[in-house]
Amino acid sequence: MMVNIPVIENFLSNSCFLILFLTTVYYWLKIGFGGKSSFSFTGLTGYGSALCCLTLQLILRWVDSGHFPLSNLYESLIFLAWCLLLLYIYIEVSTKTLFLGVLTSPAILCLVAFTDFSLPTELQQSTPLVPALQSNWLVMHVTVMIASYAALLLGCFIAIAYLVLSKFFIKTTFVTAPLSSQNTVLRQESFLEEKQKTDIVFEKNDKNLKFLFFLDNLSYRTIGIGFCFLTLGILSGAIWANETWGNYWSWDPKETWAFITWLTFACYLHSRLVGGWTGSKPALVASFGVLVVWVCYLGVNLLGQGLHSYGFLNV
Amino acid sequence: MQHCVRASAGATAHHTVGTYRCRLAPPAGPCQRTALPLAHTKLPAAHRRRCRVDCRSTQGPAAAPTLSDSDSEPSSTSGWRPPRPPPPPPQGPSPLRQLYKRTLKQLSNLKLALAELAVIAALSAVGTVIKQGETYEFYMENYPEEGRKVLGFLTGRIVVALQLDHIYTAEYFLLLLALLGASLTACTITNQWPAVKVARRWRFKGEQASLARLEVASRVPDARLVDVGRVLAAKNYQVFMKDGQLYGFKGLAGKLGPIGVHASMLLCMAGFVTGALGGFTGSVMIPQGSETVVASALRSASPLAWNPGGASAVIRCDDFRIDYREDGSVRQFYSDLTVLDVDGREQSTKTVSVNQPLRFGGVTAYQTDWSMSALKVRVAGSFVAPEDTAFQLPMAALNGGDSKLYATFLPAEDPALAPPGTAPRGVSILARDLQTVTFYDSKGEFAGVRRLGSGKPIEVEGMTIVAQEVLAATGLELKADPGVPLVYAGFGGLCVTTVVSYLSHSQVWAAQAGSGVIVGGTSNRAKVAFEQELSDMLGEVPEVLQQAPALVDVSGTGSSNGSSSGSNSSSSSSGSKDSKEQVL
Repeated sequence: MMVNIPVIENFLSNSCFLILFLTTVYYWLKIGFGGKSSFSFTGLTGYGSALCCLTLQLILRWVDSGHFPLSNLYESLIFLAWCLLLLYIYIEVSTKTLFLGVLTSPAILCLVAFTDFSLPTELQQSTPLVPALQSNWLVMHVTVMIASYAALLLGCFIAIAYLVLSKFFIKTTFVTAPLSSQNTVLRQESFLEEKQKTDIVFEKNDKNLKFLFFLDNLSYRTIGIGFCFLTLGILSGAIWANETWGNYWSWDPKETWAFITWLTFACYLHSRLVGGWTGSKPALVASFGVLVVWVCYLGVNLLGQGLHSYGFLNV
Repeated sequence: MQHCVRASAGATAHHTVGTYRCRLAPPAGPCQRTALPLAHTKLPAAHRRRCRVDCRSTQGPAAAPTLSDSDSEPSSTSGWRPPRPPPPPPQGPSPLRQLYKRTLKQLSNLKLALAELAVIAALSAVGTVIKQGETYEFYMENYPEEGRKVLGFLTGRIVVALQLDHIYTAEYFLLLLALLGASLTACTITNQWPAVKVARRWRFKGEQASLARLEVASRVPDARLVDVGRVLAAKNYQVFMKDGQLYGFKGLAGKLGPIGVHASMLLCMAGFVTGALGGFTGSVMIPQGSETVVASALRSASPLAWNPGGASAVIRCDDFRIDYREDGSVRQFYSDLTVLDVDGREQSTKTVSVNQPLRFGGVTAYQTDWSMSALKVRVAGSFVAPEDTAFQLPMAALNGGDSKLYATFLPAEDPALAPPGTAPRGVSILARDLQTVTFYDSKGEFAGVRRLGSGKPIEVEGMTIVAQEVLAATGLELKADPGVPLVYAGFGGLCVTTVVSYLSHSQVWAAQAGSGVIVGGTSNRAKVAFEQELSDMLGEVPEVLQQAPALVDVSGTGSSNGSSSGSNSSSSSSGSKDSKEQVL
């Protein structure tokens, strides 16, 4: 090829890092010192250009190696960053909140930094696929799993932000009204007499409570999407394994940890849907879920053995 | 929608039944059969049935008030008439049915289910930390008894005794999974299915109090019910209107979704069990050119397994090739397999590779392994014959490292003549892959490398050797799993129903109240989005202004105010007593 692909890839990864760094600085300055500034699209341009860099990088790797760029740890980390960026851009556009950028831009920055600078260079090379990975299921299974990790991680970060804010920054006082506080915040003008009484009490804390409730709800929805993808990912992995080795479940560490992640978030969803929990209790489950997702994604590869140890670090 | 909520939620209560606060008025009168006061069950329709058939006292059958008590203090009881002459002994349902119902109730408890999920997750995690399926010596070595014990107490003996070395097939783990299955079933029977039946049997809410109690409720002034209905219908709600009341819903599939999820999981579990009990499995190494009877390689999973049709077939390996890349790594393994029936007739032929298995008669053969079985060489100057002769030397696997290593030995002198206890002189030939072989002389010194099929000879120990070909054996994993169709069906169902469960089941009730409409609604999933959607919709309802209210004082001449615009509203703001419509 006339074009030197490794050089371009290097340039792209460096520029992606730089753009994310600038975006992080922008968000921190904006939220820290910007005061009550209105929503603007500057932050999104930063995210958008980082997304373009990563897309180009993935396409180049695809062209270079001839197979879908998701065969080793490096490529899956890049893809995870890509999914996180895409998901975050969607959330920011639809909710028009700047606050979340404060959390997610350093997180994605750290991820990209770890991927490009901390991983040994041997792991960054695109290697040809081993026979077991030469299947169309690779595209389906790994894509959906990484997308689910992205959604779950994002949802859990938001839940952690909720916990931090609700414990340390926003002091909420709840009146022992016969109506639950959540209903009171939600309810529009009502004609029951009690409403007048509680309305006055909540006026002061209303904006903060509304924001907290918004965070809570956003984390719930994001984790909901992530759980859906996780289910699809696990099932497609099982079907692929059955087609390749005749065994849809072999209690491989990676499979087992994906199952554990699934169980954890099933607990989370059931506690919300059936148990009616809202607020900090599910957020605690979600913050535990972050650890589970990380162990499932990275911990198993770095520490364990098994079917998922292709080209990964075998410690 | 459940009308009895747990006591911790802050709904307005009418009366308490056990730990539930019931928002309906308590049922009137005692049970007609047993004269015990009535209790609600969780669902309104079911309770109406039950109070005729299955009455339960609020305090239990032993605590039924006696006749003398109720006669002397009629006012202290909560509003039921004194009982009739001595009631017959409580007949109720049979003890077996009561036990069944109580078990179902215990099993469908959410806390129990969450605990089950947590314990299964924890045990699964343990299985990833402790290496599974190793030998006893492995655990003794890695979890020592003396010295520094792992975690301070975990020794090899404990690991084996608690079955932590094969935790996923341990009885307690399987029992936990079975318990989870039982909980899923119980939940579907007691909660989800009845909830669907209730959801399908919608009812209007006409009372403003009940409308007000909905999660999202609002009053739209100067509006007509029919306009509200029109706006709802435009947003894909199914709307029903009757007598100044309205009910609309959408997304009923969202209520069925969770049942589908549980049902699919149960189907998967059924498939797992079928496969675990009824399957056959085995692996076999077939050298090129040889064949093997499938049944000889299969082992049944349990005595309950039934033979697949393909067990009587014979597999012949015609060829085995490895496709190498330029850098020496493997691109793909290919085996040309032929399936023959008992009489030797060819049934099918296929080139099998790693992601392309061979299926026949309920058995599937997967390419999972390979080995070398023999090395074909031409040797000139051997002790057997001085001229160029072809030999086929059997190869054996050497255990060392992760990659495969096979070796064979070509003696340079007759082994029978060698002194007993010593090895004869000869050439060791090693091979890692099907591309090259390496030669070592009797002293173990490296002699040379030759590419197979190049025809280039090598001189070792006085012989001229040409390495021609390695005869490989293909390693096939044979499986017959009758549970796979069930498992796949369950997986497919799970995929679809998980997505469907995310649909919100939204319901909206409305009633015309004077000049305005009171609207209330609830949704089981996206509550915030529903609130937003409802307020948007109500914003779209056109405002219908009443005729100017009469300036004359209304109280004495109420009937003259009958003229009104719109459907059935009269000027209501003055709250005239003569007005028949109940307004605020």
